[in-house]
Amino acid sequence: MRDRLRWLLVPIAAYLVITLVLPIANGAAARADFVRHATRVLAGCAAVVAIVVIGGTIVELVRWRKR
Amino acid sequence: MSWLREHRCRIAAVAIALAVVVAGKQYYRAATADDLRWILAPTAKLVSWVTGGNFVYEAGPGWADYKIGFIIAPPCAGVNFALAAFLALVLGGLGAMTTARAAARRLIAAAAIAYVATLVVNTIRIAIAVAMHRTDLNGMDRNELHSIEGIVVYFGGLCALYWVARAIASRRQQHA
Repeated sequence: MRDRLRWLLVPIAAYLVITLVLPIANGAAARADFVRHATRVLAGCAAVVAIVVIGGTIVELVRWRKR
Repeated sequence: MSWLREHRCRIAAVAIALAVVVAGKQYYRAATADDLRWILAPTAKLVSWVTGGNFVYEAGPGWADYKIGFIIAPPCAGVNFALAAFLALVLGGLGAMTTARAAARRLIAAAAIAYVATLVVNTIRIAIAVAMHRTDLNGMDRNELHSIEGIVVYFGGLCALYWVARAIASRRQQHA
């Protein structure tokens, strides 16, 4: 499972660079609403990763039962 | 030293991609609706087509449909998604960037694919937002929901784009 999810590291890294790293580099961390934005971004990423994991597990189970 | 020489095309590609991303972010921070016409105009056309609305350009705010009560403004342009998609496609394609020519070709392809993918994913995101705007949400915070929807659709779209690009690349490798 871990090997099959490794590909997600690239889109996660690219997304976090754009939505968190560069804004922090530009001084956005000092903004009052930045923590809220960062929390939403991380929660959204976690939700999508969870959907991918659940979907992958279901596909794997279906394949395993067909064997 | 030999490692640098061996990977010089890949290092140059990553440096170019990062420079494009930083420059793109700076450009997007101050861009007006007119500056973003190259991405907002086709997006507005696609959203009009998908939602059955009629978004027309209005100097200042962007593309508006007052019948629906919705404006496609500069923050809706999806430039952040385009930059993330470009970066992900470049990073994912590093393995094939063995020569300067291959690296240049990959960078151009990544930019073109990122642009098209942005139009598609952003249209989906705005169409969902328009549908949410038309729906009674029982007093839920619309701005909060709009923001969460954007994150989920953009990040989900980025993962889907990257997965498809990887699948196509590995299929090509098998046929080669």
